[in-house]
Amino acid sequence: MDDGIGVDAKPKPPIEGRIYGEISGWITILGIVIALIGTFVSLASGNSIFDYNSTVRDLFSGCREYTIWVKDTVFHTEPYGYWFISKIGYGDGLAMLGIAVAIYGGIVGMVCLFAAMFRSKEVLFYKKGLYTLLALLILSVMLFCAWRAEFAL
Amino acid sequence: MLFLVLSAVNIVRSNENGSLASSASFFFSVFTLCFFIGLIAIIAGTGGGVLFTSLFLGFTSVHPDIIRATGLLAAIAGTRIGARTYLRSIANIRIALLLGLPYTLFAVLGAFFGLYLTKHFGTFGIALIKLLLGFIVVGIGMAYIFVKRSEYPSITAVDSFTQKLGLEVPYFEQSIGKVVNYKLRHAWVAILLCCGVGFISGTFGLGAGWAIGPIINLIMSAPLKVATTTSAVIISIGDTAAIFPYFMSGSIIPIFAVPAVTGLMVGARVGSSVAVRIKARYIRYILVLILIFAGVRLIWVGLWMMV
Repeated sequence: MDDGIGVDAKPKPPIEGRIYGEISGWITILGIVIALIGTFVSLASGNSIFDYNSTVRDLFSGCREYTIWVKDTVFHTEPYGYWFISKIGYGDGLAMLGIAVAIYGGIVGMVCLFAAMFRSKEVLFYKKGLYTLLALLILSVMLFCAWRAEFAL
Repeated sequence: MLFLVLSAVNIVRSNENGSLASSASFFFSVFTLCFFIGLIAIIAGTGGGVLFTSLFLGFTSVHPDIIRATGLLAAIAGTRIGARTYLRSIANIRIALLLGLPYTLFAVLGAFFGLYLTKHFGTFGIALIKLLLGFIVVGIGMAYIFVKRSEYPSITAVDSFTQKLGLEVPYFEQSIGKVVNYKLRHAWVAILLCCGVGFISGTFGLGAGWAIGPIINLIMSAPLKVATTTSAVIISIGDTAAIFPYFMSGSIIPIFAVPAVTGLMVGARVGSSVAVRIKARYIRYILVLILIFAGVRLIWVGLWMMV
């Protein structure tokens, strides 16, 4: 048909895309749930690294994040990389872990997408491997940014 | 609904003086505001990122780095959950990878640029961000009025560059019960435009559905559904990398980010079920009004801070 609409059997979308969608989506949901639990723990028990009253006041005074971390947290300094790993016992530590899990969902999804491309030569070398290369490059940028978050402050 | 949004803005702003009785009320105020932002945005056919960032930057004094980091986080969470459904059927993963690379690279550059502006130029940097975002938001509002999208664009000629990429992935369109085989064109133009859109997204902490959808639909001539669903996948990929500069600078404050992101997500979820029962056209007008109102306010605040 010249309008491009046919009556063929249902085509299956590429599995690498489905794998990326499912894995990154579910990990993101998991991360958000963990972040919510962590925040509720902080609010309910006061088991928090932040002094919330001054945090809220400083947030709406337009303070930079640096000032908030120095003035309103138990650290009294800027956070370093993945600081929350050593503070999981605090509600905020758990909340930040959840946020990190949600963010990392995209990287895990992209790793799985890349791995799924190896299932057949046809997919791996489709258009001379262009899409495999694109996936690899995107994954490299993501991993570089994640690495920089911990080691290049 | 506009009244509800503005009321929620006032609830959040009323906490500015530090007389907050409890942090829980702050949590629920931010959640409520973001719930309505997500609700309106999804009914009007966009993501909540643009509304969230422009309303919070325009009407509160929360530092732009914190708002932009939260806006990007909201964009990531919303689009990832959407992408999970879209990639099972309509979204085109090849277009997502092709446009996702320039978008990702420039979104990361934009994020560093945005942080550089606020850290090294202080108040002037913040004013510049508000001023530029104001113009962008007014432009987005205008685009929603004047840019007409095409459900099944027709193509007369395909350029050789796009043809060589083999981007087309046919999909089954349930509403007509048929398989749609579509052709694409002007991939190189879309790649160039995605560089600019990625930079804007990273710099201002916006989702980019307002731009990438039309690029895929109007420039590449993909069917409307393919364009909107694929744009969500591209944002979910690109903004994952772009959020790390904000993440490492400590711009994500859990007590603010968690209710904002969950509010936007729940609002979007409720909105998607409400959308089928109400006339989205009127909600779209409300969205445009809010965008132009917030944009003008951002321009005003930006200019005020500069002088």
